[in-house]
Amino acid sequence: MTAPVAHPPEGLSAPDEPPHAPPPPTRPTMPFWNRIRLLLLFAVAWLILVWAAMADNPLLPFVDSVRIQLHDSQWLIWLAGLELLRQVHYLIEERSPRYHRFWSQTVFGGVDRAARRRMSDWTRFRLARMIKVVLLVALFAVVAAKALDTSPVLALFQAPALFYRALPLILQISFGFFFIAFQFIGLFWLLSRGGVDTYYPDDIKTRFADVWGQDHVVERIRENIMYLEKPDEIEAKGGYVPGGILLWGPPGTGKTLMAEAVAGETGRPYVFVDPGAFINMFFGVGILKVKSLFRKLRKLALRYGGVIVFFDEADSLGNRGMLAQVGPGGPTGRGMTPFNTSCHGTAYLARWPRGPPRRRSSPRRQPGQPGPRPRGPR
Amino acid sequence: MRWLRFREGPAVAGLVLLAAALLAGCGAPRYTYVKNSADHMYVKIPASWHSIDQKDLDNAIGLDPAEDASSRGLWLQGYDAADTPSALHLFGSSAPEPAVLVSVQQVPQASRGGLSLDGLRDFFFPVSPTARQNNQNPQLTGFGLLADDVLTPGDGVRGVHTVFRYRLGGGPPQMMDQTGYLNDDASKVYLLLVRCSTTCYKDRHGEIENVVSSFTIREKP
Repeated sequence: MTAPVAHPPEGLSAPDEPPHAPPPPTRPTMPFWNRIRLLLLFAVAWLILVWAAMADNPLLPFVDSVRIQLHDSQWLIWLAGLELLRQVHYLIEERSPRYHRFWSQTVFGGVDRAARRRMSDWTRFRLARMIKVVLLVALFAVVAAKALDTSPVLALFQAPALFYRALPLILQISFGFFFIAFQFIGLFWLLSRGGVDTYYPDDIKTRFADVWGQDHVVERIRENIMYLEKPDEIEAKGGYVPGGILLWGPPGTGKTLMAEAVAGETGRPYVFVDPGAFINMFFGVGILKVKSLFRKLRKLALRYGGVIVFFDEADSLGNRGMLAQVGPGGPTGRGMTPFNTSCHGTAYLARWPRGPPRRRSSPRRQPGQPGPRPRGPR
Repeated sequence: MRWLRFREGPAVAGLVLLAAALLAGCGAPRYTYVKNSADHMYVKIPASWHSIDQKDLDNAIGLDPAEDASSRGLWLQGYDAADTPSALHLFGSSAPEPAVLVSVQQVPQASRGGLSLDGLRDFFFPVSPTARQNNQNPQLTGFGLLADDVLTPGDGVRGVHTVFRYRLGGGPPQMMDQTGYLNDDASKVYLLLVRCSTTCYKDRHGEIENVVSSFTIREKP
């Protein structure tokens, strides 16, 4: 088994690089939480059964309850064992390229390709989400049935009644915490709304015919729209699909109208981000807004096969680190953070601007010529 | 360790604790925990004692096999320390090893007023002086009372614990350790009877005492 292979940052490839990086030789490393979360779920479910047995019998000590549940609820232990086996399999896939190739291409390659052929990304996402929810509800029903000594179906109906009965106590206990926390949660939630408007395809009536006097820009944008229709095919043939267009110009030249027209022509949802959307009074709200914006964009893109987001006055976002600062603009004069290749943010740039910014050196001195005068007071 | 970050610590600790709990759970439980959750009755019996077949038990008492426990208003289970458990060890003339009968009986509305502590004492065998005077059964001889304690565990539940000796059908003398409880509104009678021969009772007194003292009734869940 070899050491884990370093993976390049995921996402779009840079303009001057080949469009399709070869598929990674091994499985991408899984975060630790993802490795153990199902194991923890089974462990918690099993401990609930141990606790329920103890709660149902005042004579039953913990050790004997554990011993009895090891026998009575061994299906959960088996499930946890299967999950452990799956994680070991993933761990080997992360280390061994041959093993990964065998499973991802020889064993599951056909199924994966068939699923992609028959279902859109949005349908596969919904299907996966539905299966997860159904499995969680089933596990809850079975565990609740064992705890309540009834059938899983009846347990599903009994559990809300039990919860309702325990509600006064739960509210009493949690009041102290929520009394303070809710004020801030509510405040931040309210503040993280706004500044982002979503228009669905039917809402937008603007077309390219409505844009007058910018024919050369419209021409360029029409070219770019082609990319949005079938990005996979263009990439497969070696083309590069740009993720964005920068519209630059003085006020009143039709930049917003142009973006609306793009949305109208492509039939994709259109998300308009106000210039002040990310400038907030409180620390962290801007970050919350960016997170919620991108979550919304991902969902819309999955559902409609793409989304157009228009950042109005994008230059207001130019100050690096501004989102985490207090007040408009944040502290100035921080200078640029040195770029390095491990930063994902610069992976989308072409290669030449990625290097650290440096003062362009003066013309090469010829031998015998005097050098530049040293700076500083004389 | 680079792969183990600080925030992952609690999760790892949880898994380690769980693994420790699983290891602690290796082996069989020491007791069989007999319970009737609906009526809140609990007792623990050594795991080496075996359950008596339910049909065997029903036949020995003369219950209608067509009826189930809820329709007949009687829930009962039997356990036997002998290698081949049998209802005869509970109701026959001799029990060389300890045998246990535990039951919960619903009392009809009309009979609730007449139930007393003496009623609990005389549930299986005539123990109170009046019942013994009226006893017409020639098979029961050699009575001796060893203990008689009134129990008041709370929540309106009251009961009586009696230890007595009888000779059944001319067999060897048998010790009966009987605990009976009546709930607050006299709608349920809870009974635990442990019996075995006098020598067995002397030899295995610790085990029997353990079973009897674990007999628990909870009027409130």
